[in-house]
Amino acid sequence: MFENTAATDLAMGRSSVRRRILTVLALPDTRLHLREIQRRAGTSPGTASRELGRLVSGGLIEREAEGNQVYFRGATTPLAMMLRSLLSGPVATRFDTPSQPHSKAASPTAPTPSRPKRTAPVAFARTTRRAAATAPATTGPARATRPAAATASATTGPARATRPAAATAPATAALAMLAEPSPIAAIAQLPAVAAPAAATAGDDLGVRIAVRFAERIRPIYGERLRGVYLYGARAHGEARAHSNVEIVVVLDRVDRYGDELERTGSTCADLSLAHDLVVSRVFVSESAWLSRSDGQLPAIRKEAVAI
Amino acid sequence: MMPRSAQLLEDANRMIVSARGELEAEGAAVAAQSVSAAMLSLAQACLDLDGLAPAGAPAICIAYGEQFARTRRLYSAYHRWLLDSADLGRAASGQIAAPIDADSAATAVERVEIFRDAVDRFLEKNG
Repeated sequence: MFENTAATDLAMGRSSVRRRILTVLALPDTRLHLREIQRRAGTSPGTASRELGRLVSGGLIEREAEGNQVYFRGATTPLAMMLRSLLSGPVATRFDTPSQPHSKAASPTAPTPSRPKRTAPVAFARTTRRAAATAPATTGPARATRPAAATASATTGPARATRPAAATAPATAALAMLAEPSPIAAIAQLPAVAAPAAATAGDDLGVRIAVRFAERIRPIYGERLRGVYLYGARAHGEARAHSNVEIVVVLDRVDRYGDELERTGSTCADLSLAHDLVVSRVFVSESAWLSRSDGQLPAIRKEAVAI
Repeated sequence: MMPRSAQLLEDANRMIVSARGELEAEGAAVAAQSVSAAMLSLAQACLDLDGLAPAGAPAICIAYGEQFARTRRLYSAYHRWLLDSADLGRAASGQIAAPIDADSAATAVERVEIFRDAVDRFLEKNG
């Protein structure tokens, strides 16, 4: 089904920003300005602004101007709350309140509980970081080199939400968003998924180490890094004390496998030593991650926890 | 050198020779798996010196890191290579990872040879 279909996976990748924004705004009484939403959703200001505009138009969130500042919060119409709880998955469920009707009962498109959780295929928003210089493979211990880390240069322009406020957007607009063959419609029909911006499954230690790993390799890869996922026993929550921390690193492409091992070797060894376990990683190209249907990859895609 | 260490070193040697041949004949993935096995065997030989015999690749890597990398009794880079080779071996199965290229496998073979020489010297000196 969807996990084997590149087109659906790509759609999920595009819409994951929208979904993260909805997750960020899913909590009751949450009202945030664009920069904060952009930061929490892990995306660029431009993308956040565009997605916010769409969500405002669809009546899922509301826009409020206060002085020079523009704030966004979840729309309070019953339909918006229902759709938000559907789209934002586990977070909306976790923070469910009496004012937020449960999607399972309310909608025929609600996910069935028996279906597995699934993560969006591409975890990181593309930033404007430059890829670091590549390091040649070395053969001697004294010559082990590490690529120089590039500095982040994410642009942080002003909010450009130019669409009019739609606090009371008609239900038809929201329904149209679901009816159109857009990613958001696909999400509504999918099982609840872990929010890519913050891992919601996996054992604590595994997630913490994977987050640390991702933090350390992000400057090395810059835009080349398309996602970091935890899989295996630590993602299932079935890990024992010394179970491996198994990580999938999704890159734009993988030309020389040894180069990627070299770039991440120190991080892996440091974390392994620090925690008395083995941090292991596999490198997968983005195209394989999105579309490969043989081997263990489809199963890993289903169970993986986005970091 | 203790008998078990000597045996493990010999096993590693055989696997390294095999990896060299596989690199030419059977391809990078097969060679990578041999390298991975040889690295583990060498790590076991070192651990045997301390009277440790952990079972399974993860336990060997953990124990080796603890005994030899953290204490700097051997270059910490060897621990990194051990982990790298384990991941390369896993990747070579082709179940998850991108394909292994010949250059990467060749580099891994060179490294296991360097590690083998270091372990040989270490065991001679300390065993």
